[in-house]
Amino acid sequence: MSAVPWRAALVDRVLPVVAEHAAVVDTEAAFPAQGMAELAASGLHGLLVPAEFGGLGGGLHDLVGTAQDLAGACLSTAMVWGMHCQQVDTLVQHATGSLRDDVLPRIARGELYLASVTTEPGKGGHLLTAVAALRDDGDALLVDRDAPVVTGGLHADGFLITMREAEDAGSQRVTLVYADRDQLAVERSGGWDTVGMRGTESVGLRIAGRVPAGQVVGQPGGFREIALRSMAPVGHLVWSACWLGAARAALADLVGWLRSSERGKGVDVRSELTAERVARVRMDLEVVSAYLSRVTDEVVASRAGGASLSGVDAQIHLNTLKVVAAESTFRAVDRMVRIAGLTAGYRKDSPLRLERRFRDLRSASLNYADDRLLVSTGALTLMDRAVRLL
Amino acid sequence: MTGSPWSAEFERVLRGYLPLHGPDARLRPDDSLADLGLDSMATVGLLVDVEEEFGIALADDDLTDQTFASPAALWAVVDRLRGASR
Ligand SMILES: Cc1cc2nc3c(=O)[nH]c(=O)nc-3n(C[C@H](O)[C@H](O)[C@H](O)COP(=O)(O)OP(=O)(O)OC[C@H]3O[C@@H](n4cnc5c(N)ncnc54)[C@H](O)[C@@H]3O)c2cc1C
Repeated sequence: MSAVPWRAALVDRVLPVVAEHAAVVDTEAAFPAQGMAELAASGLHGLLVPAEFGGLGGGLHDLVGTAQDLAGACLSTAMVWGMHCQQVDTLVQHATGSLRDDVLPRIARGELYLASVTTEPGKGGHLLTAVAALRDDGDALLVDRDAPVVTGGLHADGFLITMREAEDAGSQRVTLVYADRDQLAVERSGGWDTVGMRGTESVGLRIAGRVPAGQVVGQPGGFREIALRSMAPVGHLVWSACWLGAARAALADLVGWLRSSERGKGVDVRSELTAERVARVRMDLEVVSAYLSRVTDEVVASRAGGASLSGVDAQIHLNTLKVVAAESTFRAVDRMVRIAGLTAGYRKDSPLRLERRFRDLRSASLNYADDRLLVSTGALTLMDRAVRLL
Repeated sequence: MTGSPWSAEFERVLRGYLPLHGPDARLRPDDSLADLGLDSMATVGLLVDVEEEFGIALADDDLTDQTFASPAALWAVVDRLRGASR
C-alpha cells in the first residue's frame, strides 16, 4: 500500500523528538517547533509532494499511517503536520502553472509550512461559504479577513485562505487563494487557551495583504469543487487517523500498565468486568481502524479513476468516518480513564498520561462540528433508497 | 409562463429553496443552484416538493450532483418523468 518504502525509517527518526516535547507544548499551549523542524528536515513535510517536484511522492495511505504514528507520540504535533499535509494535497491536486512550480519544491525542501484559514466570524465553521470578499485593485487581489482559529498560524510560512469571490458575489461563491507569509500582515487577534489540543496553538489572526491573481487555487468562486475533491476528504482521513493514533497509543499504554506490577491494587485483570471494559475499548478502535482504511481505499480508488467523490454514498462514507472516529476515540479514552481509575487515569502526573489524551480527544467532535456532518448525512441518506453501504 | 423553458409550478417550488436568489431576478437555465444557496438539507426539501407537485418519483440514479446543479438540469429530469407518467 505504501508508496514510500522508507516511511517507517523517517517516522522512527522524528518520533523521539515529537514525544519529548509533547508535555511542554501542552502545558504552555505552544507550537511544537522542534517536532515540526524535525519533520521538515526529514522530508515528511513533502510526503504528498510528487517526486518530480522533489517530494517523497507518497499517497493517502502513507498520510494516514504517518498521522497515526505521530499522534501516538503527540496529538497536537500530528494535527499540525496533518493539516499542513491537507493543504499540500490541495495544492498538489489543484494548483497550476507558476504557483505549483514555486510552492511544491519549497514544501519538499521543508521550507514551507502551510496553515489553513477557512473558519470565519459570522459563518462559524461552515466550509462552503465565506463572508469577507476579495477585492481586485487592477494589479492584484486584496485579502483582508478575520481568522479566529488558525492552527500554527503564527508559525506558518504560507496560508491557504477562503474568501468570497468578489464584493458582489453571493456567500456560496468561495475562492481559495494562496498567500506567502511575506505577502501578508499577520496580526494576532485572539489567544488559544483551550482544554486540549493546546500544542496546535490555533490562535486568532487578522490577515491582510495583496496577492497576484495567479495565486488563486482552482477556479475563482469554485472552492466547492476543491472542498469536495480534496480538502474535506483528506481532512476527514487525516483527522480520523490522528485521533485513532492517539487512542491506540493510549490503549497500548493501558495494556502495558495492566500487565505490569505498576497497576493499582484496585484493578483486577482477572475479573470479567475489567475484561468487558477493555473489550469495549478495543472494539471501538477496531471499527474506526477498519472504516478508516476502507474509506482511504475508496478515496484513492475514486481519485485514480477520476471520479469526483461527490456521489451521495461517497459523501456519506466520508462524513461517517469523521463522526464515528470522533465519537469512538473519545468514548474509548473516557472508558480507559475509568479502567485505570483516579490515580493512574485521572491525575496529570500519572505516567499513563491519559488525562492529556482525554482532553485532546474531547476536541474531535468540535473540530468541524459533528452536528453539521450529521445533518448532511441525514439529508443524503434520504436520497439513497438503495442504501449503498461501504 | 411564456419565455421560461419550464412550468410556472416548477419555478415557484424551486425559488423557495434558493435563499441567495433575489426575488425579482430572472432564473436562468444554467444558474448554479449551489451558488444560489441550495445545500444538502434544502436539496431534500426540494426533491420531496417537486415529487409531490408533479406526482413523480426520482430514481436514486437521478439523485446526483448534476441533477441538482442547475434549473435546466433538474427540469430535464422532471420533464422526462412527467412525460412518462402521463
Ligand atoms: C484543534 C482545532 C484546530 C482548528 N484549526 C483550524 C484551522 O487551522 N483553520 C480554521 O479555519 N479553522 C480551524 N478550526 C476550526 C474548525 O474548523 C471549526 O470551524 C470549528 O471547530 C467550529 O467551531 P464552532 O463549533 O464554534 O462553529 P460551528 O461549526 O459554526 O458550530 C456552532 C454550533 O452550532 C452547531 N451547528 C452548526 N451547524 C449545525 C447544523 N447544520 N445543525 C445543527 N447544529 C449545527 C454546532 O454543533 C455547534 O454547537 C480548528 C478547530 C479545532 C478544534
